[in-house]
Amino acid sequence: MYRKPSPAPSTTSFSDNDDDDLNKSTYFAISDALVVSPAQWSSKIHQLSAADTQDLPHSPISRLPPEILIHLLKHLHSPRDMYNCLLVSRTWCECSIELLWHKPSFSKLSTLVKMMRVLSRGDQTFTYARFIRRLNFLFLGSDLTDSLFSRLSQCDRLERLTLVNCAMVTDDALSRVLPCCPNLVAIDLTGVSDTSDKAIVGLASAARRLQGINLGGCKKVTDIGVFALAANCPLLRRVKLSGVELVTDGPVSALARSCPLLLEIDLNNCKYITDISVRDIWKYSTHMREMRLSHCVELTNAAFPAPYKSDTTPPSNTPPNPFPSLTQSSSDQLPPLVLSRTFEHLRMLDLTACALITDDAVDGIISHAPKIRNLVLSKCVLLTDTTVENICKLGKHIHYLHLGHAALITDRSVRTLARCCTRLRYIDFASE
Amino acid sequence: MSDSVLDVVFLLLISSSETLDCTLLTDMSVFELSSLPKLRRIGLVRVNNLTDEAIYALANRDATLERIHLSYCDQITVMAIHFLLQKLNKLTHLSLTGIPAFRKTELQQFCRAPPPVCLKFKLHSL
Repeated sequence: MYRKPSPAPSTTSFSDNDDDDLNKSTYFAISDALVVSPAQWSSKIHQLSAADTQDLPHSPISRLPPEILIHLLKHLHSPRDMYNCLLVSRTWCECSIELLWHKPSFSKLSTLVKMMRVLSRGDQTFTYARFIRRLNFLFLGSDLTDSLFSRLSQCDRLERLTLVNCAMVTDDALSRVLPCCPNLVAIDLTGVSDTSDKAIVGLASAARRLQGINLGGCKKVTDIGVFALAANCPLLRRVKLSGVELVTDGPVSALARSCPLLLEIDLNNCKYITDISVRDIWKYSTHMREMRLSHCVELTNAAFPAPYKSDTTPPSNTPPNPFPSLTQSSSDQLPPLVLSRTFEHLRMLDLTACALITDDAVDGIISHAPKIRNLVLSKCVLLTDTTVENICKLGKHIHYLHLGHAALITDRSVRTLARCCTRLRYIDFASE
Repeated sequence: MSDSVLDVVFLLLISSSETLDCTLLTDMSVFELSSLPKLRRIGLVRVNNLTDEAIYALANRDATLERIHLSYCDQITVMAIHFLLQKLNKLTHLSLTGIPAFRKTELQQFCRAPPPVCLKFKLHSL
């Protein structure tokens, strides 16, 4: 299944961008952006003098320019093959060494320890730490200790770091290491529960080119950390704050305003989020693709675009209010969110348990976002058949639909849905 | 279709006597949904107006369904599910928790223990 390229493709990452096409061929990857040049030998002893090279036989392949050789070597995926290439000749070594080191992988702790030992040796043939661009510690999890993690401060060209489930890494270690990585483009701290504002502020101040951050379950992070991200990282595209329960509207609005490329925002279980910041996302984040607002229970219709219909006048039998400014609560003061733009890129919207939402909100959402593919409205108990009929307007675009616990829905609208939305793959009407 | 491929989950639970707001959906909805050509998963937990007619409708369609959730749909019988299983050869998961007809001990041998809570992490989501 060919997916359209991202509306805001990465232009600043030096390492391979595997965010998009999962089915993209790895053989002749046109957008392979890993820029590698022949590596510099780290000590004079290792460099050959000019005289030594003169008598060497010149085979045809030795006349290949280094860039072409590097391009060829990039098609090798097995580290063992790359290792064999670097033993062929000095030129081949210069061209392949960085390819071998840019994405070291280890499923066992012992392999990581060996790598760390190499990085701390004084007599390295190359400064290997500077080749490393991507590190994924998912498989080590709690085996990753602070003392091992701290050795990464030498990896100043690190671009992508995954620390999912590395629960033993402390905030102090993060605060020491992350500021040393100014080239970070993506970081995943899901499950690193000790993460606090100190580490995030440190990260934000150094990694100005950050595009993606996942802080799932990092409960200690507060508004301070997220404000720092908004202030320092204007290239942010994916911000995942699921379970960062203390976050409030302020920094989310700041993200919407300061990060125009924002594509994905995850605020699941951020119970303090109100209409104010969600409105700002609709107003400023024109490229938005995925909005997750599950269990943001404060949200009302005012958080979402107003439907395209004429304003209804208030019923004439309500007496005029002599003190309007005193009696209206802050959410009543929010006017309908009138937007003139459509959100052509919005594909995913999760409003699980946003129980105050009514049919009008869904009407407004769908009229402004006609290509939603995945819509979750579970536990939005006020929704009626009108919502299902509005969902029909999504036609062939809607593939995944959750309408669980919406007890007011009847057969009538489901029948229409089944006839209009023929590409549905996944439908849930669970009730409880 | 081999039983080893199918994950049948039903638990020996005493069904809760307090039924909260039941859904208004009936077999008619399932008839209509059965016409969806690409449907892979359908969740109908506690849609307790459903009868065997709905099951037959789900069975008599192109065999694309992979996961069906029917827990607490009290009126479903063994015969209807048997028919469903014969027809839908791509089915990998079937939830039948709390359905009275399936609480017979001789059927329990086919079920598996409920899965442990697992956390899903999206890799490469940055």
